[in-house]
Amino acid sequence: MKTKVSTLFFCFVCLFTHANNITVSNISLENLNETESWVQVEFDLSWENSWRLNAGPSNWDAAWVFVKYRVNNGSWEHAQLAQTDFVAASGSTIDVTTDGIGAFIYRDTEGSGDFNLTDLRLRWDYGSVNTNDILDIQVFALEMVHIPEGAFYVGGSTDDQDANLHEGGNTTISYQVISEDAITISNTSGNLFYSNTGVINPGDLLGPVPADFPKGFASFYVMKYEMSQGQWVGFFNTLSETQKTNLDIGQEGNTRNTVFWSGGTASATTSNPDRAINFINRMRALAYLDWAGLRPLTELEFEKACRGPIAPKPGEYAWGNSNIAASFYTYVNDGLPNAQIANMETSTGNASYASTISESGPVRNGIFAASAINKNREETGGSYYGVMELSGNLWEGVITLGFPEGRSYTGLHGDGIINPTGEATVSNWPISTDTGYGLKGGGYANPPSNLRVSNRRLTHLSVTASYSDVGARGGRSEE
Amino acid sequence: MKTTQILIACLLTSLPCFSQYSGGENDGYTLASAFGTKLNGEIASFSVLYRSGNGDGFDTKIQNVLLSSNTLAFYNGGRGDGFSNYATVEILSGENLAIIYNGANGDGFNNQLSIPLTLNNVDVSELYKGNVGDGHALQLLADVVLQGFTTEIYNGGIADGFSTELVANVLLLGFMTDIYGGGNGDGFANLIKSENFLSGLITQLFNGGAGDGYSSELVTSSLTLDIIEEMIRLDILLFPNPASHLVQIKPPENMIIQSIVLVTMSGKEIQMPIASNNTIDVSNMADGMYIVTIFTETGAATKKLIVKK
Repeated sequence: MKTKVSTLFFCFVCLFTHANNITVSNISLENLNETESWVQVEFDLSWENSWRLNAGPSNWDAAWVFVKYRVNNGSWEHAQLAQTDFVAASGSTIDVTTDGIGAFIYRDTEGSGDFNLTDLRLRWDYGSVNTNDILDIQVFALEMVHIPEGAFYVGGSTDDQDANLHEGGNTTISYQVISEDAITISNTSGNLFYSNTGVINPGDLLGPVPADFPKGFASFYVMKYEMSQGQWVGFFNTLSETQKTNLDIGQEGNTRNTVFWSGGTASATTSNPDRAINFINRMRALAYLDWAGLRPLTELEFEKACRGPIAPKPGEYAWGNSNIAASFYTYVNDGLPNAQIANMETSTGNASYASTISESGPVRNGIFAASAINKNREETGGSYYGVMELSGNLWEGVITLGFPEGRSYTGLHGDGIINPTGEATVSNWPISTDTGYGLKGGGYANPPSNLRVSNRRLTHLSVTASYSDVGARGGRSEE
Repeated sequence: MKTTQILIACLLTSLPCFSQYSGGENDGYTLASAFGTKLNGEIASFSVLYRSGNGDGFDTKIQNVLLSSNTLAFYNGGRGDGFSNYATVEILSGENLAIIYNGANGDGFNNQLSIPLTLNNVDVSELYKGNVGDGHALQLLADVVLQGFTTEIYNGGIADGFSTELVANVLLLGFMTDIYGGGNGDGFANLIKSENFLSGLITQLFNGGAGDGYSSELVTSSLTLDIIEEMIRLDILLFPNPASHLVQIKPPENMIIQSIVLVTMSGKEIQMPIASNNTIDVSNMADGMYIVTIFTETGAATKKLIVKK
């Protein structure tokens, strides 16, 4: 009886806690060690609806935390963290990455709900900063989802998606990724293949896909939501005037974009920080990911983040089946952090696309999870692992295996520094090429076919232009 | 006991308990700052003079200021933030700077310089004071004479949330209730009432200034007809724009689109096939600007479309 009562309580907790509110607060510098030139950055961190599961997806959500600083009002720099002398709060694990760019912070045991951590400390190796210098510190935190190591399938089982991947020799058999070993592109059994006939050109049908190309078998983290307008502004306001000029979106008021920058030394603002950010071309996406210490996902990782280890279903979306809402949504509190949809459909998948949006432009992050009548995967539009809005709202940039510039991608992470003109600088990223970077997931302006997990209609698009239905999402390999 | 078991079973069946599907407010991102500190943790300076939240009509100004410095920028607003530029140099020693700025409810602006300030022996201690909710109030101090000229201490101008201009050569026949009327607290509200009856030449209804949140110019010689067309045009959505592949056209409820014609900037007409879901495919069109004419049962409307791949 006690077990049943506990289960009942757990259900009610899940029912009524629908706000994530990730928050960093109370930043201070502590425990200065002048001899070894390091100091600890102390802060509190909390968010709601955190989880760690030992069954099913067997994954967890995490905060990706990184620190920026400036000395005497100079330019913003990325803080180098150390894998020693950090302090985790009770109930949490801190994984500082080997390159010292940031840290993942997550539950150390199974559980779900509020996650409140106080007096966390990360060691910052401050280098040549003088003790009399005046410092400004910014601590950034992004909600991420852990995708465990394991085999998974790519492509469809009915060959009905644009250029979908399949096993060579049979267009109705999905291809299973069983390791990070190189993959041969060939229309023969046991290999990976796709069609490049028709109006689109998803690739050159050549390979192999090298062993260093991230295939999704190895574990990785992915941003829980699409990049938000608040995220973009937080990034933008750390840049130099030249970098801002080259990266400025300049579309305030168009298709629900509210980012405004007046030029010069002024800071950019947004009135809808939680709304997904559109007009993110390749240059902007890669610059942000480099600056944040993340990296773009590959199209294989994108499909794994959607369906997990489950075999593909015909026409499925990120929520695992081909059901999809088809009525225009009514927005409530639109523009506010608690914006919701009043008329969510039940027993079907919900997403932002051409048949459901009532205003041209993206909706805020997490609106479907917050508005769903039943908080299950299908109605919230969540993926197998709990990644949100992978289908619809905005197209998301991925590295494609269809062209040499994509296949040469090795999954290196951003180092927190972009060049003076605002470009990413990571080796083997398709920074200045017109192929290698494409789009997956569909956007608010598209028909439902573009939202399907296997659809590759725009994986070839160079995304040098700024489109109103294109955003971004990044990830990072687990170490 | 049996009732309890049924209740629990129902909950388990209908409400999967996955916290990962419980999204909510402020999802996904946070940023926190600590300004003006030193490595030893000491607060090093008077770091934040004023700081607002994102998107609230006020530009952020964060600056480390050492109190020993004699140059102090109290505020430096940006273009289009509803707040004019104010930067001054103040000497901190020997002056009473108790109130440099004092905001009031809801107006986004209320500047009060409370220190005694005398210009040519005239006390002008209150240079400007806004009213609640209006974003603007004019305070003209009478009989202020500076170097022999009567001077306007403040008059609205470009980028201050208030700028209106009714140019000469406007010929109006009939009656006109409101061409333009600002609303409470918004800096701008456009109003063209249906009972307006206008004919003749109207060169400018409204011409906003740079950065004041509105800039539009309607130039027409037949305003009555154009207002009707404008109403139809605004009710039809066309997105995305610019577009590279599919373009969705969304008419008002119960309005059926019959056909669509694209016209290139060189004047060539292209009849576009439209899908049942009111989409057109422009993926085979050359990059550039097109005029889209949308024919419905009740008339036609035009929109501009940019194709860019």
